[in-house]
Amino acid sequence: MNKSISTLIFSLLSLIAILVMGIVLYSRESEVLFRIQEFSLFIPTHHFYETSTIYPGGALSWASAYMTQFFFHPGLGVSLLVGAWLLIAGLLIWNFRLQGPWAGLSLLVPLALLACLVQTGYWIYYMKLQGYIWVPTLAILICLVIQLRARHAHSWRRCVLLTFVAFFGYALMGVWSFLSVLLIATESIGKEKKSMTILTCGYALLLILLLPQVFYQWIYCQTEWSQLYLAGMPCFQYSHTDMPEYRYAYYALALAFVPIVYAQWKQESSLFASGVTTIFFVGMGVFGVCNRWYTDTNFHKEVKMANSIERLDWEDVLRTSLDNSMGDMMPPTRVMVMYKNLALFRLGRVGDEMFHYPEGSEQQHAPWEVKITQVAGKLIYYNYGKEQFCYRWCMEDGVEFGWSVNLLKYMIKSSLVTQDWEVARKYINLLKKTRYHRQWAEHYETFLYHREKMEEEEEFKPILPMSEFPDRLDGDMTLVEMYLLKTFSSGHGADKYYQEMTLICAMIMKDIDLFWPRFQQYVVMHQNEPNFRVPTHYQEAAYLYSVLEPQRPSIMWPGMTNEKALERIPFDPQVKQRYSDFMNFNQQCGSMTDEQKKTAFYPQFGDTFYYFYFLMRNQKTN
Amino acid sequence: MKKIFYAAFILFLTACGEASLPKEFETFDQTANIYPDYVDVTVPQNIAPLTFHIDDEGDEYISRLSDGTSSFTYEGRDVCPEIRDWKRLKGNISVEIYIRQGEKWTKTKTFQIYKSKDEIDPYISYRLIAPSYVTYEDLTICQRNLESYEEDIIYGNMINSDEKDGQCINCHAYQNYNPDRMQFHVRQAHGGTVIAYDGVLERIDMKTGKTVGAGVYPAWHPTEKLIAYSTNHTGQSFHTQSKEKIEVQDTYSDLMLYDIDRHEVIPLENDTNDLDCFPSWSPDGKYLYYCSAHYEMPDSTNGLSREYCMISDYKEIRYNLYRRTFDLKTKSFGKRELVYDAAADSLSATLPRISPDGKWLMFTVGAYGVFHIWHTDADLFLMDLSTQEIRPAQEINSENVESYHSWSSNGRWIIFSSRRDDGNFTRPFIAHMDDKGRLSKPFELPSKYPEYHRELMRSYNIPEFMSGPVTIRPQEFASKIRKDSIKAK
Repeated sequence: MNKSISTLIFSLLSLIAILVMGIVLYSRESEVLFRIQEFSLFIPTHHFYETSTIYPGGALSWASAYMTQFFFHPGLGVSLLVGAWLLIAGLLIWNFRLQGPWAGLSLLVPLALLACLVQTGYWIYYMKLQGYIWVPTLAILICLVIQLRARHAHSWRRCVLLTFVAFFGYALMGVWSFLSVLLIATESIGKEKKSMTILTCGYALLLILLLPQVFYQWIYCQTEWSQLYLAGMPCFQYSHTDMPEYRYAYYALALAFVPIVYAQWKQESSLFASGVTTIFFVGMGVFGVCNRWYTDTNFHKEVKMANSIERLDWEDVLRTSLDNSMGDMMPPTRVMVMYKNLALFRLGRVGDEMFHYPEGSEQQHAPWEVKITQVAGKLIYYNYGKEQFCYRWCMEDGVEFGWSVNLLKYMIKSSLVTQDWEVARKYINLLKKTRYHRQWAEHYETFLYHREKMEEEEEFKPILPMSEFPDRLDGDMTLVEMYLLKTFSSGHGADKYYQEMTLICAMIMKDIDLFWPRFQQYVVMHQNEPNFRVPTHYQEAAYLYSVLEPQRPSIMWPGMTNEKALERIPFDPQVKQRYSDFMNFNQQCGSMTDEQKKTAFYPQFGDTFYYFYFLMRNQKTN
Repeated sequence: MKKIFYAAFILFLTACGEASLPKEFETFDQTANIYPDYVDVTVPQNIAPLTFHIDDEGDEYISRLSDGTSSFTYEGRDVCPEIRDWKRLKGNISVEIYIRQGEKWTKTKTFQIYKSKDEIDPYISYRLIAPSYVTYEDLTICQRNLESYEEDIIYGNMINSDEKDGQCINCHAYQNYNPDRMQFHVRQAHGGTVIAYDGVLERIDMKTGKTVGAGVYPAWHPTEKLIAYSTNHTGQSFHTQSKEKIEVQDTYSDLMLYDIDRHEVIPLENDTNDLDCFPSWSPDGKYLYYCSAHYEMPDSTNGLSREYCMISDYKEIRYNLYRRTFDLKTKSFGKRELVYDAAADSLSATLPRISPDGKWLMFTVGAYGVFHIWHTDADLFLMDLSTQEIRPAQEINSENVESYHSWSSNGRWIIFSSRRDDGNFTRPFIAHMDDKGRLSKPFELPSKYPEYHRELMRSYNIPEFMSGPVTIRPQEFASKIRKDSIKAK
């Protein structure tokens, strides 16, 4: 085969593969990409730029944050990313003169870039580097463009260029600029005299070694010494946990240049040899991407459910909870359970359907302890009327992980609910400067100083009454669910939403003493409603507790025991029947362990409070 | 051809010159809404230009600043006078604002910026910190040239922090406005108190076991190499509903003196039931003012901790102002004297600071507690020390928080923290005081970009005047902080 034809074929294959990568990325990760965009922020002002550039590599991060905005439309964001990858592949072919099958090696860098992106998983909640999703892509693209421009510089001009690129590059791109320095320096190999090549490469290494020290001593006074050689790179440390596995994709990105540089020097290899080598390396690349792709079903469900909640699409939250098409079904995390309960609560179906969905407390699959405060705390607190705690965690996370659109949105909403109008205005004004969230901000701006408008708004209607309770000094110790369970289950409220939450939380806590007065209050508050009936799960709890403590004085019928009162409460026949069936089945399964029973009972009784009460134990709330 | 080019270039330059005022307009009887609010404020001659943003909606804006002899016109919603223009405006400045809506121009009511002859110290320093509760990340102690917008970092924590070992920095203070004699604290990684004194830099570990802990809130003796501190055991809890968001309390706090030369901590009397805090020297160094609250545990606590009890009683803990005489020869303090019994008025007074001429005592007052920066009712009060007469400083107070304050070296300016902009982020405001103790309307620290403070997600903490900039570089501080500390005796 003619070399130019094979170059064309492998270049085209590379191009097609990048397009396929984009399609797969979009189809599998669009919800995550949208969320990543929500966790980023770009404001087109002097101040934002200046704040971004107080660290080396800040300008790259700033530009990447700009590009990240476009994931508001995941299709557009992916298209731009794929466009950048295509450019990178083209530049690799051109700059390194990859001919014949070697042209296929141009796929290696986009593959590594894809791996950097799709491995992130729960780290999206902890990433401090603004615009990190675009950082490696932009950095590589800029390095290749510089290399392209520098190809024709020779001898001392190359050294001047090296100095220029290293100096400004480090300030603007951090350590990514060193790739540029290395690429420019290695261009001299084979083109210059050996002594000049050694001088150029030695000078490049000296620059890489010493320049950050110069910056440290004289320019950057906010960068720790050990971070000098990591400037512009994402940090994969949280508290005292180091997560080296996240760096593998970045190592792969660096290593991807090795076969490419090698190919540049082996232009004359046979088609077969170059073809086999290319296929081997690309295969390795594909294997690496598949290996690093974070496919955890619960993570993707959590992200999708959160996006749906923020769109007030409660039905979609429930559909996602049951969706089998998103990957292997596994027990849900507490975050998913809380999202599901919130959706049912908003739809007014929690009392009838709460246990119709999977229950569990699966830990998030991550190499560190993922906290609900970071993943879902703000959303949950906001929706349950705990606005000060929502605001607090926005502030804490904004300080620790950087400001984001999502945090500003919750700060706006929680400040509106607490009528902290002026600070809400501050955040609204910030969001109004963004490209894609101006409309959102203008919508919420209409509520400023207008509590009455908020009372009419579907989103605020259930939240406002739940946010009205007496002030006290408190703390959640970062345990969001436990805090809510404890405060609601011990709370009292005249509002229907609030009151029902106290009942639900008493049930989840399996606290009989707390349950009865809240059950009674629920009946009193609702009994005059047309077509009133006590939801099934509340009936099940009342029936079960009456049976469990027959001699306890009844709260529903003072002067009677529960046993006697049982006859007066008009339980649905099905509630009684299912309890009876449950107990009969329990006798049949007498010798089973609790774990065996959990599996055996689930098909018949998984949707009952009885199952939850007896068999869902030791769930780790957090 | 060249001539045509030059002519076109000159025409272009002319076109970029000052905007002309509209010839036809309607007059409006109200001043324009501008941010920051600089309407009728009094400023020192040597302050940087007051830039502002016009909040009123319009299609076009023209503003003119004039002092009778010079005038400058600006187009656009952001009015940003150049420093050289501003310096030429030596007298009181009249500000005219014209706003076009559609075809119609409106001239809003002219307002004044009064230029006082009293100069202000050229520098201030402050800590920039996000108003978070538990977490912190990027903390900087900064200095700002008041005559320009130049802001430098004196020391930032990130230079000595990583993910595993964070570092908190706080409580910068100076001896008599002297930037060569300063101190600040470093907590956690490489913790200690950094003291710079005429070129000598030390990091001191003040935990001696003689006091509750290391020194916290500092007060340099005006002339001697001595620093008084309160030493505090501080906790915080969160409001579930109140806009005040957080309650910071001391469960124990005492006073101590640190001798810089001898590296020695000298405790004052340690009464666990008296919560002494925020020391401040009189300008002659003969008195140490401070605030103190008395808290005794209830007889029956059912085993509850002091911290828990104090959280329950947080609204009952009120601070009074006291002072003690100081004998320089023996370095000993006299008995405490009550200066203001705030608790008797159901108030809590903190942060006493005396004017350099010794005539005025300014302090912060709230309904309860010690950490008034989170108390929306906190206001500044003034006591005339010759008559003991007390009054709220109404001219400078707002409906929101006013808290930390410090006097300029000539006693004519006060810089103070206020959250009046949005209730959450602290901004420094400056007000003029005349020789009769009358305060002018305060103005917000001017910024290069008028909306800078609207965008800034950090608070200004402890604004302090300085006679010049701190010249020690952050890297020098960082290097000293990494080295071994000196253990105080």
